[in-house]
Order: sequence, then structure tokens, then C-alpha cells
Amino acid sequence: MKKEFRRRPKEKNTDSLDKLPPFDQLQALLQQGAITCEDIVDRCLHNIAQGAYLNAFLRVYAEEAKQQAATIDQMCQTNNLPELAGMVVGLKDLLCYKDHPVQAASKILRGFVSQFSATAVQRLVDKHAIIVGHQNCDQFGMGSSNEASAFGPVRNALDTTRVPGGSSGGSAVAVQAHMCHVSLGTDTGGSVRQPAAFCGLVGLKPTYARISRHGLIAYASSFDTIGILSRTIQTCATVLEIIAGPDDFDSTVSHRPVPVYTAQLHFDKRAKVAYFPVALEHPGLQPAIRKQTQATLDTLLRAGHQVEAVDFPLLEYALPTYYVLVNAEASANLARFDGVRYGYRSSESITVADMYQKTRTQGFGQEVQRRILTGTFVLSADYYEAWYVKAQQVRRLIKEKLEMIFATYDFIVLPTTPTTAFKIGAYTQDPLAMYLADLYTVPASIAGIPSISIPNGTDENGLPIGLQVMAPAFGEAQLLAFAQYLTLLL
Amino acid sequence: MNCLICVTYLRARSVGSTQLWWSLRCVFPDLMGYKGDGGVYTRTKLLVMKIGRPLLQKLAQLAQLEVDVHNEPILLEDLNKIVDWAEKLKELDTTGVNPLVTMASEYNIFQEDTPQAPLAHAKALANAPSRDSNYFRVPKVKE
Repeated sequence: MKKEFRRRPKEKNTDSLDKLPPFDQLQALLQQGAITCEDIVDRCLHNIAQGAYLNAFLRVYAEEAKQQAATIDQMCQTNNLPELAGMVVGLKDLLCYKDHPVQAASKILRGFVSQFSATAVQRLVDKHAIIVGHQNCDQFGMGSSNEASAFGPVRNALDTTRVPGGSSGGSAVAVQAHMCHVSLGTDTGGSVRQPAAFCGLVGLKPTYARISRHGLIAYASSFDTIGILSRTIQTCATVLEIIAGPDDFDSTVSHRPVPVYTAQLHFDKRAKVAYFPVALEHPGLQPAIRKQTQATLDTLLRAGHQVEAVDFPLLEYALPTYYVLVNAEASANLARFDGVRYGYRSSESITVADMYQKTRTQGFGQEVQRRILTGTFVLSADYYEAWYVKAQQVRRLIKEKLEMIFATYDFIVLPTTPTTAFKIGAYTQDPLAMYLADLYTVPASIAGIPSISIPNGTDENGLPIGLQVMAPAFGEAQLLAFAQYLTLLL
Repeated sequence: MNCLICVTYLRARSVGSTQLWWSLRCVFPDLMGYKGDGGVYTRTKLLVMKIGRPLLQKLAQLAQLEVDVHNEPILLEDLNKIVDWAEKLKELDTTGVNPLVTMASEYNIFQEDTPQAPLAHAKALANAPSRDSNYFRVPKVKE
């Protein structure tokens, strides 16, 4: 089952890639007949094959993609293109796609075939986006480096000795290496924004409940969101306005109207921007990232925006709060994997109790088991009040503090990650050091607010740096417009 | 000397030797304890073991997982490190703070109660590792 990992080529291998034309200009090209959709899909498949050593895709649906491309090429002649015609999309292995396997990159869901499509996926398919395959990730989204996958680690296409970030690492590398235009990932504590930063992409985590979670394999239900990885903010906005909004299959999804984000990408206000000195002075922050973030803040100030330092002493409590709560929710959510109804079942068991234990122990990866056990600990009778309830109280403090900041400011700007992409294997023995990679991304997840990571230069090794912008709940329209403005400004 | 300890320690970790690990812990507690301080981890303080072996086995039983002797030392160390690190939350005074139990901001969203086609038996059973006519098949429940 475990995919053998190919030895990495010594030289960087991104030159042999057939670059994809950006989706924003693609439809015009298709209609002019300058390019065909079949050609686009062929390029994607070529890049997937060329980049197999990156380990970004777990399953590729090549024939289906080619067929759909042929259909779209026929539509081009009628001059009436559906909104997403020509867009090639990859799915993180946590999103269900009808009649296709999905496995959460874990052994425990071996052989599972989805009976329905996730609402977000279905909405893309309805607009004729082409689903090209399922992408590697950390098992159940639990990890920050994409090393905790049952299918081996994913490699960063810019430097194959380094991680792409996680947990949506395969999804980020797929966009980075021109294997698809867009990836749908999931972001529970930074799993879309952090890989976007490590791979030099745009990564959006929308407001909690903006996009239906139906068909997303649950990790921590009060944190999970579907996120978008793309090259441009325009593409990200195009996808968001299609997949967001009410859904009969998710009772928690918001019924607020979905704005036409692509029509509101122009930002001409004077922005009130807050930043946290406590984040910039953190001892774990790489100096190059500090310098780059500071430079961006200075640029904003010079461009006439209001940029002010704001106290956020709760930052150091965000990570522990996050891990207590997500582990608790994970221990409950992952109870459903018992070997009875689907997925892997241990063949060694004689009794049913034995079957549960052996199936779960053999099926779940090490990090998943660690999180289930920690979650069980904080939820157990003797510790519930002191750990779980305490973390819920701190969650409220953090959420209210951020809301208070947004009463005065439009955006909060901070780095996406404390370091740029680190070496594969650097933290696999030390879970706590690994958790630190999410330091700056968890506050938005705790508060359920939207947050985007955009490229902000590179460090001394040429590795991409991410800049994170957070906005108040349901402020995606302003957030995307401001991010677009920043991209042009930087 | 330090190097020797480190090497022995890593070896104890990697082979999962409970005995070697515990004896090392007893002799060099300072070197083996981690203390998190705002994200900078130094091996300076003794790690307080909040989770011992009996509790770990109890948790494993509750979570329907098996923790064998081989994995025990690594898991004990990791879990205690995580719990010790999360202890930081206790510094904050949260008296009178209402726990945040849901992220939903909209309540009482109703929809029409219209019957829909259920998942067909064949489809529901299609993913089962073992089945028998219309049922999921499991090993015997009674001894």
C-alpha cells in the first residue's frame, strides 16, 4: 500500500514543467481558439507525471479529465462558456468526490469510495471545473509539514530537501508545480495558509461556516474550514463566490448572502491596519521574515494608510488553547473509524473489542494516535474542567480580544509563519517544535475569522515568505480587495 | 559527556527501551526534561510526569487504541511534554468567563422536512470490510 518514495533528483527540476496560463486569462484564450482545454489538461498531466517525485498527488483521474476537457472544447465553439470552464482543480484527500476513493492520507480509510461529493466540490463540478485528482496531505489534516502521511512526505518544488508545509502540502505543491490551477484544501489551524506561505502562493481560510463542511472528513468541527490555494487573488475570489453559501446538508453553514467577490477587488480606501509587536518580537521568528514584514508595514504607512501597533498578550496562549480543543474534538470525531462500516479492518482480531483496538492502532498514524490520546486526556472526567473548559474560556478571551481590535481597525497584518520552509525530518521527533509552525495562523482559527496568506518576498535562501492578513468575520470581500492591493503594492 | 548521554538517550528513544529510558530519566532528569517558554524549548527543567503508565493505559482503553511496551516510553514523554506545555493556560485568570462552546452565529435555521431518498442498502454496504446479506459483519461479541 505504501507508495515507494523515489529518490530525489539532485538538480531542481522545475524547468521541465509546462507552465499553465493563469486561469484569469484562460477563458479569453479558449474562446479565441489560441489554446484548447485538452492542451491545458495535457500540460497538467505532464507536470503531474514529471513531478511524481514531489509526491503531491495520491490519485490522478486522467481519463475523466481528458473527457471533460473535450466537452469544454466543444462548448468553446458555441461561444457560451460556463464560469469555470478550463479550470483544473485538485482536491486534498479529505474532500469527498462521488464514486472516487478518499482516504485522508491514512491507512484506516483504505479502499473507501465516496457515496457523494462534498458540497464545495459539487459546486465546482456544476460549473464545469475539471477535477484532476486527490492530493497528499498529513493524515486527517494533522500536521504542519506533510510528513505525517501514510503515503510518504511531499517535497517542496522549490527545494526538494524541504517540506511544503502542511497539512495541505500536496495541494500547495500541485499549484506551485503547475499541476492544476487551484487546489481545495482544508484549514483547521493554518493548513492552507502555512503551505501557501512555504510555496509562495495565495492561501485563503474563509470565515468559519462560510463554506459548507458537508463532505469534508471531520478533524475538529468547530475549527474546520475548506480553504483555497491558487496563484492569484482573482482566481481565489472566483472559486470562493461559487463554493460559499447555504447548504441543506450542513446545518452550521451561514445563510448570509455571498457577495460577488470578483466584482469588489478594487481597494481605494485608507486602511486602518493593526500589527502585533509581540508577534514581530517573538524569539522563534526568523530575522528575514521580521525584516520583510516590517518593510511591508512601512510601505503601507508610506502609501498613506494608518498602521498601528496593538497589544495582543494572548498570542502565546493561542497555540495551547488550539491544541487542547482540536485534540478533544478529534478524539470524538475519529471515534467513527472502527473497522465496522468502511475502510481498513485488522485481520488479526478474534473478538469485536479486539477488532476496534487493532484496527485503530494499525490504521491511524502516530501523530493521529498522539492527538486522540491527548484529546481523551483533556476530556476525561478528572481533567475536563481544568483543561477542556479552561481552553474554551481562553478561546472566548482570544475571540473577544480580536473582535475588540476589529472595532477600531480594518485588518491585522502579521507573518504567516515563524520560519520559511524547513528541512524534511527537522521536527519529526519533536511534536512541540512542529506545533510552533502554526503560531501565527491559529488565532484566526480560534476566532473563526477569515485570513489570507500572500507572498511577501523571499529569505536569504530564496525561500518564499508569507504575509498574513486577517479581517473581521465575513469580511472576505474587503480582505480579498486589500490583499489584491497589497500584491500590487509590494 | 553530554554527547554520550544524548546518543544513549536517542538510542533509548528509538529502540523504545523502557528500562534504559527510565534509568536515564532518573540519572539525568535535567537533561531529559523539556520546558516550553513562549515557543523556545530548552532542556533545562525536570519534566513533571502528569500522565503515568496506568493513566496512559486507561486513556488508550477509552480511545480504543493499543499502546504496547515498545511505544509506551515515547508516548509517555510526548504526552507529558504536550500537557506540560499546555499547562500555560493556567496562568490566565478566567473566573467568570463563559466557555465558548459553539462557533455558530446563527440560530434556529429551519428547513422544510421533506423526505428524500435514503442511501440504498447496497451502497451503504459497499465500503464494508465484511458483510452478510443486509448487515455489517463483525467478529463475535460474546466470549
